[in-house]
Amino acid sequence: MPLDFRRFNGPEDSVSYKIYTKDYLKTYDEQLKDLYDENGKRKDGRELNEARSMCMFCMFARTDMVSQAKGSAYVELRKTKVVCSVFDPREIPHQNEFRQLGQLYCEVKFAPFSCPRKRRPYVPDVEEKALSVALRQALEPAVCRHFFPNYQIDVLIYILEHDGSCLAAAINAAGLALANAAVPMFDIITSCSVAVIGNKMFIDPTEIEEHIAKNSTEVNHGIITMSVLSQLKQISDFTQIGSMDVECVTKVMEVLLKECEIIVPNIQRVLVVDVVKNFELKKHLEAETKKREEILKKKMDEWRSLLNGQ
Amino acid sequence: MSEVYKLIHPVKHFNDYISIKTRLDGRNFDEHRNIKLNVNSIKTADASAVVKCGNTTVVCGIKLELAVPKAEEPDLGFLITNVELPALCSSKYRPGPPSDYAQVINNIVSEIIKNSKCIDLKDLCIVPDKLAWVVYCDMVCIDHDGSLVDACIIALIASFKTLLLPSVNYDTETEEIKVETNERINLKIHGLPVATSFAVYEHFQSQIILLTDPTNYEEEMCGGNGSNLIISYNKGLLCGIQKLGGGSLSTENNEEAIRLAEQHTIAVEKVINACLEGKGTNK
Repeated sequence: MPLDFRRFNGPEDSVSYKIYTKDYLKTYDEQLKDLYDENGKRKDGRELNEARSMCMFCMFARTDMVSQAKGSAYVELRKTKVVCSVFDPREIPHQNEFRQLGQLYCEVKFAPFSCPRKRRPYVPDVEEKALSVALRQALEPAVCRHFFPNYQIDVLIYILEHDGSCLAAAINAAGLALANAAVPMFDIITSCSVAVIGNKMFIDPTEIEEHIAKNSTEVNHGIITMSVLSQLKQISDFTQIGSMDVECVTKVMEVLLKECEIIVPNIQRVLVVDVVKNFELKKHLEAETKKREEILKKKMDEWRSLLNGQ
Repeated sequence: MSEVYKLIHPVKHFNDYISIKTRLDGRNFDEHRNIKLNVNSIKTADASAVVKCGNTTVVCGIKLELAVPKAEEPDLGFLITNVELPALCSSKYRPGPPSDYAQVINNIVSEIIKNSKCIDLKDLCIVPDKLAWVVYCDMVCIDHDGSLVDACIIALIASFKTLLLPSVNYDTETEEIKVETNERINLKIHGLPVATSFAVYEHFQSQIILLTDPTNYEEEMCGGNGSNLIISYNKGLLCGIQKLGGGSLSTENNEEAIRLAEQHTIAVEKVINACLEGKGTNK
């Protein structure tokens, strides 16, 4: 590994203590059995087809998280915690031709402590890059890019804790942050993911479910993430990792469409709160301006009368 | 209207506020912002803390790893502290490798922790010359609104206080390592380092004004890159004073700053203790 001179580095050969614990030696079958109990309930008490956004307290979202950014959002799916901030459009650096459509610059970054297995490196790795590209592709159809030619908007995602479906959470957060930053958009964008292991579908999977789905030996296994523009009935991004037959994919797509629909009211509620807050702020500012202008006007009249008096 | 004034005549606008002995957010010169603290909110880290000082938000996460100690220091463990300033925390930073300012902050925080000797590295050694803990502490700034070092140190200390080291069995003959996660011991912490930031403002070239716990805007108005003066205390002992640009300080100013920093130490200690006891998290 190349040395990073800009940070403090630990010893090169350090390993997580978790590989010496008993849990680490579990086989695949044991891990699979641990995922759900006899009643078909998952470890965190959810049904297989129950998303974390279903119950009110599991999905938490808010805007105006970062005071320094133009728009920002925070999305929490139980343990998965994602922060997103959007900055003002700026000119695209290092370009030599005119761009008719504005660009979106997306970056997804994991916190070094965000993953349960290994420590994340500081320099962006392949997974982060792949997520960034997937995020950009999902957001591009939703943003009215023709309104800001030759400019780019930075959409920056930071994942504080990764407990599955982080791409879906990132897309939801980015949609909220873009709306919070008053970037013109065609529609609300929502996203959801499903992990498939054999004949079982895990909606909104946790990290361990995703891990097993990726390494499964069954014929149908993998993770599908889909983002939807719900009013326009358009699918803006579809990412599938793993292998599964066509029948399975179509079945998953139906489920995902339905799940994405369910999230929409949650997103709308957050946006309404945001709009109301901004509206009140504007009213307050206008009232203040009026008051100040009156004082100024009085001063002006005073001076005018003084001048005329002379 | 006031916003327009602030944009057109930023210095005059700022001076007007200073003249009437108040700051833009209504604080007195020596007043701190509210501190909010929450511990162990991130389950993937071995210990974590989230701190909000006003708008400034810092998340600290600790990951434990095992390694062979250095040959020249066989009985010492490793303590690696890093401060991350990702691009999303402020419009000042761009994505990519850490900026110069991030590296400076990183170094300051690391020096404060090292100089205060709050962690004895010998405690982190399990078997001399064979096995030692590597404590990776990553402080991530989510929202940069001034006084970053203060928030970083609070987050770091709060997460140290909640850190539990799993017990390790090391067989010297077979070199086999066994970790019991159910049996854990607290990490010993000596003292409680607290940093206090000030912005030094030169009011009409004559009067020097100390602004405690400056916001990002105040830091910018005082000309420095970040806070101008950082005083760190550890249980009544000074463990570092940094002066980074800004106006010149007289001896009286310096003494006042040290007095304020000492007061702040007590307040922060109360916050941390209150949070750990679960009584409430607000100052």
